[in-house]
Amino acid sequence: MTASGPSASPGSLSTISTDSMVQITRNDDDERTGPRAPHMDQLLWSKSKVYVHPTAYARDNIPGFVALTKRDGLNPTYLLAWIPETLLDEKGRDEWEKFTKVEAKPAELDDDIVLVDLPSRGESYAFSVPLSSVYSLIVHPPSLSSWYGSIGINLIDGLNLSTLHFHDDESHSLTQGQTSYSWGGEDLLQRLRQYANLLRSSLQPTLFLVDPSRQDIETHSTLLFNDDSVDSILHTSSPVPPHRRPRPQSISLPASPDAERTRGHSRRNSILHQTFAPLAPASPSSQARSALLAGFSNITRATRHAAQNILSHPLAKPILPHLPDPVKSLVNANGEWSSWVEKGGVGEFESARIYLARWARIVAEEGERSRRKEAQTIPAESTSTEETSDLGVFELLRSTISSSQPPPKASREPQRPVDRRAWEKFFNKDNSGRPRVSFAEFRHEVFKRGLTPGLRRTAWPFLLGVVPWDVDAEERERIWAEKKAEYARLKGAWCGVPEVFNREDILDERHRIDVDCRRTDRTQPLFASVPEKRDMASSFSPNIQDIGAQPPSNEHVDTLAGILLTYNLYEKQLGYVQGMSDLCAPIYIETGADEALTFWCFVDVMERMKQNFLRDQSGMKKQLLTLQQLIAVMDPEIYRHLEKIDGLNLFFCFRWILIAFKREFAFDDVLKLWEVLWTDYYSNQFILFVALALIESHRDVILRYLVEFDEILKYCNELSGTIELDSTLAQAEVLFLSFAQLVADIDRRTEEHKHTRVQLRRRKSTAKDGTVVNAPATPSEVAALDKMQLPTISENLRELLKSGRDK
Amino acid sequence: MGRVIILGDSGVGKTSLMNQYVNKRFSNQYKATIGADLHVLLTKEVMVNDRLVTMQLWDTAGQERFQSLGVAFYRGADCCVLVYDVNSSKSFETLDSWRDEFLIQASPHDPDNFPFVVLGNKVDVEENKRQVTQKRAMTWCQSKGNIPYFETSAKEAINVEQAFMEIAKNALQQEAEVELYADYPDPIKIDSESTQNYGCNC
Repeated sequence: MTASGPSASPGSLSTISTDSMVQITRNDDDERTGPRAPHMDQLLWSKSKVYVHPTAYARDNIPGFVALTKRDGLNPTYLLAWIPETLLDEKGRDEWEKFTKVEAKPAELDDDIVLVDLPSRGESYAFSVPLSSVYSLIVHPPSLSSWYGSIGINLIDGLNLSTLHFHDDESHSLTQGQTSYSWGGEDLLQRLRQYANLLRSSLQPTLFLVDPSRQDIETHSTLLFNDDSVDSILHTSSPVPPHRRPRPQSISLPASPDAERTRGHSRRNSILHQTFAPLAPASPSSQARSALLAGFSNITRATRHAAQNILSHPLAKPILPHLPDPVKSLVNANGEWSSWVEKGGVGEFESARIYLARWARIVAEEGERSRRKEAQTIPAESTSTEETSDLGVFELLRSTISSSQPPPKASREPQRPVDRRAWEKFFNKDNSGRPRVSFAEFRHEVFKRGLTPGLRRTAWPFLLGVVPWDVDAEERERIWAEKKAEYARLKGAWCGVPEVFNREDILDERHRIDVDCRRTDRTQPLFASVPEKRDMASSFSPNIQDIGAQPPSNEHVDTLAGILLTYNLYEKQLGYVQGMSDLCAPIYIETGADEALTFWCFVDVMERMKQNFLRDQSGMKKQLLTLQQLIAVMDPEIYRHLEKIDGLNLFFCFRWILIAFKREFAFDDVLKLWEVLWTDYYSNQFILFVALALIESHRDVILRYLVEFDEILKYCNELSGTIELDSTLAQAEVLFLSFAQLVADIDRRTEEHKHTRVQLRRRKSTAKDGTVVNAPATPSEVAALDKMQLPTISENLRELLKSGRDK
Repeated sequence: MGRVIILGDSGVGKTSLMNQYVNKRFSNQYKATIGADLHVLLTKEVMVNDRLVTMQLWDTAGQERFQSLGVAFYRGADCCVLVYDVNSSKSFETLDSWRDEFLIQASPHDPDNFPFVVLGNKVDVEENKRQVTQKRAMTWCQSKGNIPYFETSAKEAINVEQAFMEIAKNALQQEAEVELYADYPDPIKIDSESTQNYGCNC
């Protein structure tokens, strides 16, 4: 074997093929070991399409091979290497074939020896390191957020190598018809086990220590912390006073593998779905730790500030040595973190906990998604699983109320919205415009299916009551013409009337309205454009002094402001209140900038929502109180938690209710949600069930991490943009149905109670009158009655059962 | 930890200022802060006199209708930031009522010495649009017990860091004083000397 001579540039490879051997050589200086002669290493195992992701962008990903090699010597050395494809490309097909050949058939003892020379660290993230210098691996099997799964490599000297991502779908072992469907990273671990002792940490299941020291074995093998290590660590080392610490999860050690598998479901008591579903079958334990570690993988994307926060958390301490270098440097750069933690600097408001909570939520959502996916692939199990998950709240209700009714199910089919054709079928074919279906049926269809975007302009006025349902087209047109004229009249009261337009009080209102319209839904095409002349003044605010420095307006922004000013004069008592522009803008967009139609649709939306904007806040207070009572009967545990943290005012739901989740969902989802709410199908206040569904889907995170009022507020504010609409609505529906059943049950039992009490009283009175003096109701009877203490259903709560409005 | 509440008319740039300070970012896409948004809370570690502290910044709605909600948050505040737009004299003229409203609702222990900071925002806009002169603003601040005054631009990140450093300092000092009062349940027993020890007039 001879090297093919020094290569032109450092790090480039040369190859030599002999009959049974292929070799790569490279002549460059190894920075670590100093100049050396090219080593020929035996290629033992290789895996293609293992990528390094230098940035968050897929376009920057670098494909390569991960390989295990053996370097002969007195004591043979085993090396772990990654070679980018570009390095092999330089030398052509032969080079590739060596690796693909070994990939297809890993080297066994008697095999032909394939020799390669591996690059050391350097070019294009390439590396080769002796296994003895590897301290630990951080293994993330494929999950829904990261399809490929990854392995991070930490070296003993504290350096860390590029994280390897296994793009198995592109890999040769699959494309060439191999039947191995295990994850590439798992293959690597299997192979590594032949050459090194791998210890999976019991502290952190994604952490694998390579040939661990005695001390590390002790630290990472202890089962003390089996499932609650995070809490244990918190409780032993945290300066956080006990009442402020996250609550330990009430999971006992699984009794059997089977129990472990089903724990996700059996644990649930009053939540619709298991938010802490196991991450993956391989690592079901310690969701919190997973969340923490998942958090670290996000750190590159998170701000430096966020990273410092999380690393300052006591939880981070035991894991710190295993963190990738850049992350550690955040801690070091700060320099303060340990002393800060020790001094008890983890203050009243512990932002780290919010980060933890947020990550826990993300992990939980992934878990939920993969659980659903799993359920879909196993049809036999899926029904039972889904039923269990839908049972959630109901199980609790059943345990206290023992209902005999079947558990409610969600009925929505958002995947097939009502389109133009379906819409036309609602009406007679005789072109009279008379509907064939009842208004209630129409509302039910919209509740169940929603509308296609193009149909909203037509259907919303019916849904909202701008035009009546049960009349013919002619009558409808007549009514609409009246309304249109009425709008023109209302607008004419200020538009083009300087003495009104410039009146002191109108000036104030105009200022308020304009400032808000200029920052409402400006990303929507209609409102996004800005005229060439970027002047701050506009037709609505000709005088810039009136509004100060504001973003430039455009014609649609001005029209929207005009609609709101007209409404301001139409509803004099109420006036314009911030938040109204949020409610009006989507209507303006969906009606295709039809001014009069927007106005009247908005008027009807406001008929439902006026109460939210009353000066004394009485409407909001009432709704929040009702929601509070709803939580109390539907989920007493969350209620008690909120009570403990002074969160019963439900301020964190304020924005949700005030503008009907406008700021929480993406624009298109807001439209879908609103039309469902406008149907009043189950309840005129279905929005409260949507709010409850949201709280329920985050209940575990809330209970576990959010132990201060301001934390829950911040957490909920930041949910904005992360909520999945259809599953939330499905939960809301199940919650409503459960609530309705609960009320019916309570009423039935109250009746029974009355009956029983009357009987007991009768017996008592007989005893008094009769000869047997000392025979009241037996203690067990009294206890039974006490035990059946039923939740009271307030008037507010009963109102929730009302549906449909008189128009 | 210092708790800071930010008040001022709608559209003067309260949210923008906080985001510029905390996230070093400015966007034209901020939405009106409404209702519960008033609790949007941002934290930031700042070094004040070599101490690492957390700041809680409570953003509020500009429309007074939502202020009744804010009372709970007014109460815990260690510093109150009043913001106006230098291009709108109306937003400056309402500072008085914002200040009064805060003092009534928060009812601080020592209203005369409760720390306020005034920010005149949007100084990046052309000078000819400006409606409130620096002199006018400073005169007002002096008349209210020498309130520190900064002219800022959240858009161009002018003076934002400096202003919030001052705010943090004030908040911490106030917090220390509140703690002092808390240590002595009967405030009458605190003589002026011992308060002076804490109230560093730097």
